Amino acid sequence: MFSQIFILSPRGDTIINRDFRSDLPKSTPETFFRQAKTYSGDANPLFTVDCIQFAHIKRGGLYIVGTSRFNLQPAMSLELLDRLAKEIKDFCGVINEEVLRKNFILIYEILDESFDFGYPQLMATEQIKPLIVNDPIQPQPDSVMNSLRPKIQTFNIFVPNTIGSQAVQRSVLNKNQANEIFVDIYEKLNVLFNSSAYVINQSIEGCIQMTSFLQGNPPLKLALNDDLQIGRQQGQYSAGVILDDCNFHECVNANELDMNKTLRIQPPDGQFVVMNYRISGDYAAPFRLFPIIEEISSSKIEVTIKLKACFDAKIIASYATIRIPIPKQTANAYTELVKNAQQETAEYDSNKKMVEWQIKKLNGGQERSLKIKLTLQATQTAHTARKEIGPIAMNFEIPMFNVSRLQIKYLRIEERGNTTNPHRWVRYITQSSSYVCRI
Amino acid sequence: MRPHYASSIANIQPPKQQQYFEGNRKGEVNELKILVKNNLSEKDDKKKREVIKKVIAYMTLGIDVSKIFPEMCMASYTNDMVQKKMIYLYLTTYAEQNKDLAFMAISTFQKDCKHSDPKIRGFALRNLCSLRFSGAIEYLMPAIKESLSDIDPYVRKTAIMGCVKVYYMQPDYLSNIEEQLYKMISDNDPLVIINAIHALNEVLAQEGGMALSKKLVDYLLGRLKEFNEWGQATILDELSKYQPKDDTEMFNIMNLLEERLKHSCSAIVLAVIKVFMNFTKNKPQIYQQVITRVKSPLVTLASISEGNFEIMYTILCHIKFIASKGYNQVFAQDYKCFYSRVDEPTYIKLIKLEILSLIACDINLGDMLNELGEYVTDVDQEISKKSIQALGAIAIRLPDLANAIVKQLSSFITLQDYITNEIIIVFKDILRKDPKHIKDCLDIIQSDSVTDQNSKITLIYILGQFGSQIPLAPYILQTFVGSAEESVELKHALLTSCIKVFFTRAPEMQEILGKLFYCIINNENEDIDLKDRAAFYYRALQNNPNELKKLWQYGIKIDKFLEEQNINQEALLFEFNSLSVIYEKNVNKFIKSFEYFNNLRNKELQDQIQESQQTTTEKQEPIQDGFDNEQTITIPNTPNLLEISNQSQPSLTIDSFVLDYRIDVEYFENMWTSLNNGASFTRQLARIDIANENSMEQLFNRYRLYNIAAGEEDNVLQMYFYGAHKCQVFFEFEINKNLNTVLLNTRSELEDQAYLAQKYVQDFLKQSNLIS
Repeated sequence: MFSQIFILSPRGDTIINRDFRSDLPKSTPETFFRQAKTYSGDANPLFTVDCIQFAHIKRGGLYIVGTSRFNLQPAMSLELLDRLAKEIKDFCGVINEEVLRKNFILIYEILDESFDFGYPQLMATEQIKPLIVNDPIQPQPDSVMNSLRPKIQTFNIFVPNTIGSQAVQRSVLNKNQANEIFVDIYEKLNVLFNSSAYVINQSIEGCIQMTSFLQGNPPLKLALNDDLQIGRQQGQYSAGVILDDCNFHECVNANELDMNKTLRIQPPDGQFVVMNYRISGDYAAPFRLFPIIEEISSSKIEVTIKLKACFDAKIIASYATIRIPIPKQTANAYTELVKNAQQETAEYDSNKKMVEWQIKKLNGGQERSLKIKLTLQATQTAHTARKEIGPIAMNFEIPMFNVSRLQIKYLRIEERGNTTNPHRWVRYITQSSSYVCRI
Repeated sequence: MRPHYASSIANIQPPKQQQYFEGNRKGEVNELKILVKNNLSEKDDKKKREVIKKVIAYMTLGIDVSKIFPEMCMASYTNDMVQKKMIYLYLTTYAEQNKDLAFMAISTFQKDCKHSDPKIRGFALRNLCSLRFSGAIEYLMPAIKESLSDIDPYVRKTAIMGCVKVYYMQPDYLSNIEEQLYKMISDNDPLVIINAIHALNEVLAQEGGMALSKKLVDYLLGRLKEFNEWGQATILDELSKYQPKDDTEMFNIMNLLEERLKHSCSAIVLAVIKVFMNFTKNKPQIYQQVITRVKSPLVTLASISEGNFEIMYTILCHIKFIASKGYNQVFAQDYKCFYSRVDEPTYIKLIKLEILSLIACDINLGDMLNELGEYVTDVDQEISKKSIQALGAIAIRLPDLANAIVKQLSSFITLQDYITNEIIIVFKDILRKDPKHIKDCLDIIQSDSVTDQNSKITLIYILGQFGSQIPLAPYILQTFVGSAEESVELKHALLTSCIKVFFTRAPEMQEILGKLFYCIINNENEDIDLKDRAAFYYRALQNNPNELKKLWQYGIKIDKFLEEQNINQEALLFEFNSLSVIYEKNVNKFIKSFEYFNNLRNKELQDQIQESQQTTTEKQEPIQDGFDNEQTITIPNTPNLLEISNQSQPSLTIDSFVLDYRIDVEYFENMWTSLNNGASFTRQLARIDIANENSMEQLFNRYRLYNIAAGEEDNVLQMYFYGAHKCQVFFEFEINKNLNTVLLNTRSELEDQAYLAQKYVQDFLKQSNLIS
């Protein structure tokens, strides 16, 4: 099992360092960071240096690392680190460098209850809660770090950007908190268009995530669509919601799912994913992209991109970003938006050779377009350069919308006792995972 | 490196000391020691907590704060749990280095082990057992023995871990513990059971870990759902070592576990799969069914994993492992799940490409070749190269497709150089397998855009091997002849290839080959081996070219290719759900024994102790109440003290200084205020008898440093001196008779000169015994 667990900042500073077994050198944090920096992108989550095994996950820019001298179960070691990260999040509200530095004593406490001699012990938030004596220190609310909108490509993909998440980002130790539960249905879309706007590949990965602040962890009953079906037969078409496959959290009893479409849940404290699912079938893509490339002359290319939002007009997509890579030999690029375009920007980044088109808000049914005029350097002709344009990648988030039509019919809190009826918040969020149009 | 919170607790330090506090860790640790000591009499728990928190912060940063051990031992007699937890964390970390002092703390631990609150009992026991020094054992064992039968499971499970800790310190103390541990597997509490299993596996590691009987297996499986995810994964991993008596038992267990495949925790799913695989490994038909059954859960975990790319990676590694063992067809339908997505990190994209190249077959080829072609133009070079390799691997595995793939790859000719470089390497392998594709490779071979060293060598190899079919072969080879920058390896390849082509196209090659011989043989600095080879061929050609030609046209037919054997023999021995699968290495290549690391660790510890002993003998540190910065050396603006002293700069002597150098007061003042502090030190005053204005002036004068101002107030003598060698140096000199300290601040136009000058003053002050 783990010999040591340490947490490093993005620059390699040690924030937390706990040595459980004292059977590995003390210099492992440096060894780890040096090795991790040898990768051109992110480091592999598991690697070995001088017969020391390193397992790590990256959360909020921080490296959470476990070391060992044993032949670990790889999935288990990463799941453990992930669980640790979730515990930290449950206790501190959020996970980032500032919060960890402020709460390092609390985190040592959590670590000591979660692991003994490197073996996992109590790892559920509600089990550890009574053993914790330190209070979390909240970060300054006006800190620059918090006011920045996180980039859509964060490491935990199920972090919404649009919906005010202050209510969820709090510590389970907060004693005055409301008795309430948040239920989110997140869906990540993966769509691949070819140049004629025809869908080559599409899938949905979704999950039902809960953040529970319920007092006394009462059992829950969650009902889903009546027409839900799990497992797809070859070539089958059905009007209902078909999930290819799904899996469930430890606390879920899915025995009644086939019969009544209900899940019985014994909720732990804090955040957990009730159910994950994937859908590979056809669905109507919420956005369509139509790129047109014209060679104006041997050194000039014009790219026109039309974007159409194909969903209900009442629904508003936010933070749509479209990135268009353009040829490396581009000498100059001008972007042209439609006249009177509002909340819309288009910028050319000459270092990255990329045009970024941002649309803050987009109602369903609307259309937008962008024109890019490229001038090439003399060394390349338009005919060869046009191959380097694309693929166009789009990021977006659509709140209160889901493509799969998977729905929560009701969430019942059983054995409620005398307390007031707890609040139940249900949200739907659809995000892009990989929304790409090839040219 | 300075911790964030330092500013929030900085107000605890008296402002006067602040200036010694910056950029000097030794000083800081001393400060801290005093803070902790004073803290003992502090009443306010909140303030006390802040001080101890600071110690832990230093510890985390890797600063050695083991010196504070006695004070921290004293502080451990507190009832405040917040402090206690921090202090115990400190004590367990540094007990190894402070064996003699650690006894001081033990009584507190012992007392807490008998506390009425099980939380405190468990907590104290856990820490007591973590005091890593052999002398502690006699105190440990009674506490552990008692706690193993505590009424609270929290204490029991901690006691079991305590046994493991003792096992690593003094295994003899644990006689017959196994029996008791086996008994504890029937405990009520799941965590006690799991810890007992872990403990047995460690204690009985040499006998292969815990022994599994049918009864035990049935019992554990019956209670499986009481355990948390990690417990379940642990039990399942144990189960994979078990051999069912007959098929009925095997199927019973497998049926029982099947629903666990729907779990969202990848550790459980992989552990179940391992059980299934191990149970059925000698029954190929059922094994095939198992693989088919586990496909869907694996693909689900690989595509979702709650946005957890790390776990996704692990699952993908296992899918690749299964596919590479000859079950690639199982995943053929799901090929689209292995397409890269924009939001994935490189390591995911790379492993997906490897899987795609493994599972390519008739039903998915059309789509997949297009998709892989798209990745060739990816902005990430690693992805681009890997996709070319993937296409090459498919071409070699499925010969019918080689033609199409060669044509597809050839179409990328005009793009980036790195693409061409990689394609050449892939072509070499395709051509080795089936030379008939040479016609379709010509565009790339003759494209003149190969830049990478390895790719050049590959190109030369191809030119030599297929010279008769490449029209431009002699002329491409010619471009490499006589080039000075090329490596020896390349020249070796060039020599071989030129001779090969010479035998088929002598008229074109004769001049080129001649020039090559000339260049190699007449180059004095040439590699001897290469020269010998060239000379040998040269003479052989002169002597009897036909004989040599016969030797070269050997007729070995190659019909076995490593690439074709897609079952890696070594991989068959890899254990599923282990790091072997991830690294693709046999376990003995990356696991070393406990002793190996223990030696490393001991060496590290010794180095550390030696280092700290050296520093303490160099500077004896008198500890006084209230003030303790006598030994502090602060050199602002020169943060790295070591670097300077390592440079072995010449030290200043009295002759370096200008005799009777004179400046006026105003000039001094101007210079003093305009310069930054260059160097300073504080020392303990050793001789009080000469510590007066006159004798100091005389002393400095003797060393050609001149006084410009002086004054004494409240037993503090302050004097200003100056001097000049290469540049001017200015000193502020202070003798504080209250505190018995000597302080010197040095400023100079050249900062390193200030440091040297300070050394110079320090030396003569030592000689006069003013300081020690």
